[in-house]
Amino acid sequence: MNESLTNRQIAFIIFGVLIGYGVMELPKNVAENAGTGGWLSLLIATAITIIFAYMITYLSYVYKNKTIYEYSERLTGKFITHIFMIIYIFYYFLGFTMITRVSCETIKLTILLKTPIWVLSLLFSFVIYYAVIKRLRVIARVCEIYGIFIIIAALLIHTSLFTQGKLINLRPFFVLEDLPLYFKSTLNMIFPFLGIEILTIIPFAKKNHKKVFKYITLMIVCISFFYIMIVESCISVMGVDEIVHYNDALYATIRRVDIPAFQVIRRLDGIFLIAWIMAIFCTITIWCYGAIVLLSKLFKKIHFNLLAFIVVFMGYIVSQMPTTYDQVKKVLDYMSYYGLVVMGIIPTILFFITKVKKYDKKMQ
Amino acid sequence: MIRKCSKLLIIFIFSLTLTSCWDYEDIDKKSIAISIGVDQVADKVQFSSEITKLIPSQGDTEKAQTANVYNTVSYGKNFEDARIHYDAINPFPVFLGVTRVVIFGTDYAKKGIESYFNRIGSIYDYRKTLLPVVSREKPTELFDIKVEKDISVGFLIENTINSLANSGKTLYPNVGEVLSNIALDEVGYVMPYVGIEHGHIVYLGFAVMKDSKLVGVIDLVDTDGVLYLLAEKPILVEAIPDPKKEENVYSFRTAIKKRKIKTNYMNKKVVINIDLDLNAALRYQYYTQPVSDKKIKKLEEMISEKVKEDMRNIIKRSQKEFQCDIFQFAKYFRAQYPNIYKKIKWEDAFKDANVNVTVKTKIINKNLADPNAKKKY
Repeated sequence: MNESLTNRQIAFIIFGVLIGYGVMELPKNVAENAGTGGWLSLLIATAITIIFAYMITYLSYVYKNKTIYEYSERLTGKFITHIFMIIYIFYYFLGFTMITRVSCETIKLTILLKTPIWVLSLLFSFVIYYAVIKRLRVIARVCEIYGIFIIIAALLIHTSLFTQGKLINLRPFFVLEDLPLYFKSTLNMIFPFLGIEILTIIPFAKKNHKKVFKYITLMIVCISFFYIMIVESCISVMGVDEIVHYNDALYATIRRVDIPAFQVIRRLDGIFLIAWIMAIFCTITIWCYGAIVLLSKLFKKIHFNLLAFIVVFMGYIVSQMPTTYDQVKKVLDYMSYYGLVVMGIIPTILFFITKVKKYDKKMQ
Repeated sequence: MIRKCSKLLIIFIFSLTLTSCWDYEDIDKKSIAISIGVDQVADKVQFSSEITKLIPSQGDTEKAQTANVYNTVSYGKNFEDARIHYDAINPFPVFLGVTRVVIFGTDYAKKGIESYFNRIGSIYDYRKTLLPVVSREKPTELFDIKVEKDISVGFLIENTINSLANSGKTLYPNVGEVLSNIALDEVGYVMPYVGIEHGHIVYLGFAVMKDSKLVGVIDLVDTDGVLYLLAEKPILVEAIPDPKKEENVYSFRTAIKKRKIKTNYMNKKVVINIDLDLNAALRYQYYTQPVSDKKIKKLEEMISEKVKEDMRNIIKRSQKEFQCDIFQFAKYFRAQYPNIYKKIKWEDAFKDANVNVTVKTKIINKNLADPNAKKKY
């Protein structure tokens, strides 16, 4: 089946996978770790992410029409590839389940107070199953459409937040003495960029010429500015001292604002929740797809749709396992470190093997 | 055919489930609180409220409309206890999502209102943009007043403060803003202060809160200084007597063109410099007198001096009488000197701070009047 995507679709897949649950607590994390100078930490984190993204893109670019499973096998042999694959599958699977759970928890605590978590998870599972069996191209198109809606909604919401915020809350922009702190907190700032490893399962086609690097880099830079916009607008309204107390910092900020000029949509939380759930849907679908596609490489005999059903069903069960919100948060915290392995270490190993063995020259 | 039907079925099931049809409740099956009063009576917390009485509109029994409000009162040793009693007297579940105002009684405000702000901040259905006010009289007394000017006491207070704030004559601090000030620590804040005068509910000025406890009141006539410092776009009226002819008064409308607050740290002392550029428009004179360029300069100086005095007085009061930074100068100091801010205790530093106020006024128009017109006869 032709799974090739256009450069723009690849860029929007990155947008879809990155912008998701994480934005909800992003302002809190940035304010807690780096204070009002957090924007600088985010920029440093962006630079590091771009390096990783470059390496992953390079691998996909060199090995056209291949995913990590195929080129890893060529570079490291079957045994190590299988270990890598298990690491990736478990990572995507855990990510898919835990993001589903934490999103459902947040939805329950913010809007649907009486709806049980299992109902929300089940609803997500149905929709995700439907999306993943339509494969990558459809997911990419959904990401494109949703992405544009999310960007428009976010611009509207955050511009409105800035009009209600105070500039003094954003200052000091930069404290020279805190420079080591900014660098130290960069590690925490990389977590919102976890997800770009999804590029390892996207096979590039011939049409994805060198411009794909430009598209991906540009998208990561845009996402970085998107993050900075979210963080700064929230801090401008709430102040750095208060925002640190809210796990749902973004939603809490939006609830603080009431713009009479907007008439029926004077409270922005309605638009926000629609856009946020769309973003979560993209994220979860892509993570789930990641797990299924790699599993299908290992179990070639099982039909993709059946595999998808098994993964989604198992995911649903696993998502119900944690008994408290804090447990889910803890798993997600550990996952962030796990993410560094799959986003940073494994692609770096493969990248350097490619370079050392000069596969990139041979492939051309 | 089956495919078409299945799609219809999906749409039907989704529309049923997503609209929560099975536990749908009509709006008149909820006790909708318009205003909440919180006060201290002996050692108990008193919750009082105005609740809308919804009745079906005539001719169409499906829709409900507001008829009027009824008041409720409950007591408890803490919020939770009071809420249990509060729920027990209401026929339907209480809904706080459209509450317009929360009124704190003076006794409760003196004891400290931070806990109630935290409650509003965390309880799901409370709006975070709700208006908090302090009342000189007990909230129950306020709710007992028969309001003719508006639907209810809650609406009246909110509309009054809102219209004054929109015309730059008061502040409309919502719960969210107050929570941010509380989180900043070591600073105070002001809240609208209301009361009963001649049988009417009136806006009386500002209640000054230190550590979220009521420590003083700024009378309506003294609020100009606060507004010049805190209001986003204050539009105030200054009456300046003619230096040469006492009975003639120049009525000016002033607006802020630029407000700059800069801080400094010299000899272990905080210095706060406030620069204010004002635009003034001469609305009218009590008795029309010629206004020469020289006189305009003089009037500009007089306005500047008057505004400067207003600001100085209120800052002095906050330093000496209230002993807290109700203007949140701390934010400006922290923005400029974050490391020094960490080391000093702002509350003490503010009390001894040198505050320099500079006001420059420019009279930009005379409201199309020409007081210098020459008479022919």
